[in-house]
Amino acid sequence: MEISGGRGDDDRMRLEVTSMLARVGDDAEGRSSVEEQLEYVSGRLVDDASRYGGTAQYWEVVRRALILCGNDLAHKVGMYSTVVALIAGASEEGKMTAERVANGTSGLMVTAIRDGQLNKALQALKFLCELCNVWVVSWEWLMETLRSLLEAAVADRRPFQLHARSQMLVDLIASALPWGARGLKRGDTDEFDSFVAELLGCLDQQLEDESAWSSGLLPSGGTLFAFRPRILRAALDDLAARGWNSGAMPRWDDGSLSSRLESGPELTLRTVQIPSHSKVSRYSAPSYVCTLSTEKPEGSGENDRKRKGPIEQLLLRDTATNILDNFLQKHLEGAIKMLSLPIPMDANQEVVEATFTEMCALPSAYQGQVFYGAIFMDLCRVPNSRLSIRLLKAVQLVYDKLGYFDPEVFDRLSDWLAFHLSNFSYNWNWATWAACGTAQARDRIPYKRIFCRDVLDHVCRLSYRDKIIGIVPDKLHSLIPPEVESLPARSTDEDELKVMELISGSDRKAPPELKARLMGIYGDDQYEQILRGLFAAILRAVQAILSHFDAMMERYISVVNELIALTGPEKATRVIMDELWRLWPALPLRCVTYVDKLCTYQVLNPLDVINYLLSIDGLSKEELIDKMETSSVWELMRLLISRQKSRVQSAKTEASNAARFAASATEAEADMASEKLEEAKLGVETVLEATRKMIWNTVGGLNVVHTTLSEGVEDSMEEAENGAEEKKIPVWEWRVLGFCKEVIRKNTSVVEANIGDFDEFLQSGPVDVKFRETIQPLKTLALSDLTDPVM
Amino acid sequence: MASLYEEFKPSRGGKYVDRRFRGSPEERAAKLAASTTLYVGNLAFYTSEDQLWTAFSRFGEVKRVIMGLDRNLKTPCGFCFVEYYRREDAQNAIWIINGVKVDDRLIRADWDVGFEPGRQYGRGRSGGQVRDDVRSTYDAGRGGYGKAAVEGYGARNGMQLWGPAGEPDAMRDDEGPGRKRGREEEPMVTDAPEDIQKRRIFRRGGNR
Repeated sequence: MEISGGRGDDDRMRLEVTSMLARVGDDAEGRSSVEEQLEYVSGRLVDDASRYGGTAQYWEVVRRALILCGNDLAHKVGMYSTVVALIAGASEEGKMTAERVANGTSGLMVTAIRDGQLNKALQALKFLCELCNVWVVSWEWLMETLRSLLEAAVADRRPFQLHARSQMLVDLIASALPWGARGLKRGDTDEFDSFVAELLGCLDQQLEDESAWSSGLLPSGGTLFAFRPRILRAALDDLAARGWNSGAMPRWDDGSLSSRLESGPELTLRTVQIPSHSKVSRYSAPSYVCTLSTEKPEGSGENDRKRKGPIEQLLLRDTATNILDNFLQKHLEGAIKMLSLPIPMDANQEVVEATFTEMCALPSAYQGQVFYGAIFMDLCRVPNSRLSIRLLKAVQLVYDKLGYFDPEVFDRLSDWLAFHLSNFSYNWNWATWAACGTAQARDRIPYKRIFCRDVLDHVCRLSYRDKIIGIVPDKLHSLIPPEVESLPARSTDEDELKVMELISGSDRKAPPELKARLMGIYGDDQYEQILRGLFAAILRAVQAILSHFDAMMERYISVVNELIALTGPEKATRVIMDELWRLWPALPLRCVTYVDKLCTYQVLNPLDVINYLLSIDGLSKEELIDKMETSSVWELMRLLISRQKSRVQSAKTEASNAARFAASATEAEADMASEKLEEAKLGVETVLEATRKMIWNTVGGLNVVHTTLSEGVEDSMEEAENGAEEKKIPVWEWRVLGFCKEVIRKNTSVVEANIGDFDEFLQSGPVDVKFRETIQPLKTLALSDLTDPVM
Repeated sequence: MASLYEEFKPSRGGKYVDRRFRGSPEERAAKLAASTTLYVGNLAFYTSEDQLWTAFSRFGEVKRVIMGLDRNLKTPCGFCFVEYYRREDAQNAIWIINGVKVDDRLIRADWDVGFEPGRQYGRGRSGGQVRDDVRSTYDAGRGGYGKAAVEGYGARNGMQLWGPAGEPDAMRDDEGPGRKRGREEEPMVTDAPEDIQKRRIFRRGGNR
């Protein structure tokens, strides 16, 4: 949403208006109160009309700036609605502008609903609710709008099927109602009560669907995440019990301004047409809310916490979420805003919860993961911030419940913590984690051990091994990736050194000569041996610097490809992956990166790599368990599947470009354009087929691993037994089942298009009960319209 | 949203400009608008490619990382170029990475017109970056005291101490204005703490 304008005066006018409005209330503790600032700003807006000649252009700039601020700076939405009300009462142009602001905002809400962007729609609806509170918009119009939203939500529900759009609409109304209740209560109380009863009924219906949603979208964490409809229900009950008035919504229309506002225009706006479809593929609203208040808070914040009921917590969390969604480009500003909300309560707890909620949202977070890391970092760095204490407590809570988390969320958390620590000189009470490095940790606290190991691996990636060794206690050294030199030597090291001389240094050979010399070392038709030797030498030669791998591959890719063709692709993949697997414990990042690059060079086929990673051939049970407990294996599989999704996206973009070209082609270009279009369509089909294969191969591979490792194992108890410290489900099983869920929920459109594969898969071979139980509910999820965000 | 704050709070300090760019300002603007390459500054001399890869691949698929090297020593000299496949990823990186620490230093990133061979070398007289030639303060991550701290160094080399010296966070044209390449005459001041010197040796040995 940009305010377009001309040059010179227009730009100055736009700059002045927008700057003034954006700043309002930011220094409320400074020279003047918020009320005084609001009066000043609205007065200036009206007065400046004459300065700019009272042109329509000026009021258009004011309208755009008010819509922009009211929707994007939602933590000050009450202030902007008051400004709108004040200018509406000051002049006829002001009144017209107020009407256009309200109409524009309702238009934005409709667009956001169509795009499936719950948070954007909520910001717009909150602004409209506040406009109703200050008598700009009539309560009848607001009630009618809310009713039509509720009708759309009810109409969308079908029996035995989850409906993401219905959930989105109910969430939208329930979240906005606390903001609009004050204005709506001005009107027909009976109508309001019946509307609320109907809404609560919808929320209750959604609570019935909870188990189905949980099957694939619950970040879990034991009791740390709550289903959002449950939170909304509790908040609305709380608000109703307090007479629909909460302290978390500061008002500026009660005091000196109230008499002026009460004579507002109470406009009846255009009827809102709720779009019949929403792109809920973009729906990324968190269905689960992180609630870190399971333990009694300690310290000075306790009194604040006691005062806050479910409604205050909801409003504070939503406001913080709003800021998170809008401050991607200015994360430090966002952090400052979150710590200085114009709300008379300590919001640190809710800020931490909102950020965790967004960071852990499944199937994907609204912003990139690193954004939330940056926000937490800023929140702790802002002068006088006491948020780090809350954050520390939150991490302790999370640490205690690690085994309950979805593996994807678990990995996000370990990655985030490493990133956070890297920004604070790795200051952490590492001693409290010392137990993770003991010999008993694998049995007693397996999840904590893996979390600790992953965090250490990630901090080593961000720093370097020797530094981390010097920081963490000796007991944890066993969890830090070993040095390459400490890995077992290969039996063919002598040949490898000979090959290294051929490929590196000033006397390196050109590809044709290299091949001949390799044959001399290993034998003429020993292609597998040659490939193994060459690859091992390449890996050793590029050990010092990451980008040397690119240079080496560019130089010798022709030889490598020739050898792969002679060895056979599957066998070649095994050879290359075997060599990488040797280095894996010491250089997990390098190995993941190398595989990624080799797939880009089309030396490796991602499908073969996944098959290799999930292969059980030649592995003992212990070795297989070790592999399944290696987090970087899952990191690589996640990366390969996401790259495949990018390929689908690129193919689709290419196809739509080709379609556009075909539509605008001249007669002379027609043949070429249609040929191009056909080619692009074929490309999309090919890549979709490859994705389908990859997904079902992965699910099949996971099933084989699960069946193999389940053999002879008694049913494990899900909950912690007495005396044991963590959940008892084995780590490998948690990883395998968790990744299966992840693959399906991230590719629901592909799964949906090939839903027959589900039944075929379940009928075709032995499927363990637990695996079946995991996969069956995901079918419901795939059939619901909650599709993945990319495709 | 950002436009609200961008407009009335323009970012202070100059943005990164490659002063040796051969082309009109319009050409430069066009290249920047389509670029997927970032210039990253204020790195420690000891920051490795792996660390940068870890830090920048969080934003999207990185095509390549090109380390800035001392022209004479061929060792990292505190800057790099990061090239992404997609512009959106590069944009996200710029928004977020500024203010983030890599190897305990606040790094700075900005758009670059695109890497060309030769640009990986420092343009300072000493072979490294100009900022280290004009710096007189101590910076452990960048080889200890800057060249300007060495008595008479600037005068002997006809060096003009442009810009504020000793501002590790400042984003300036680190490769400096066009000047004749000069041979390194003074040795780099290597009074960095012992552990950092060890680390440098360790890294050169490729032992990671």
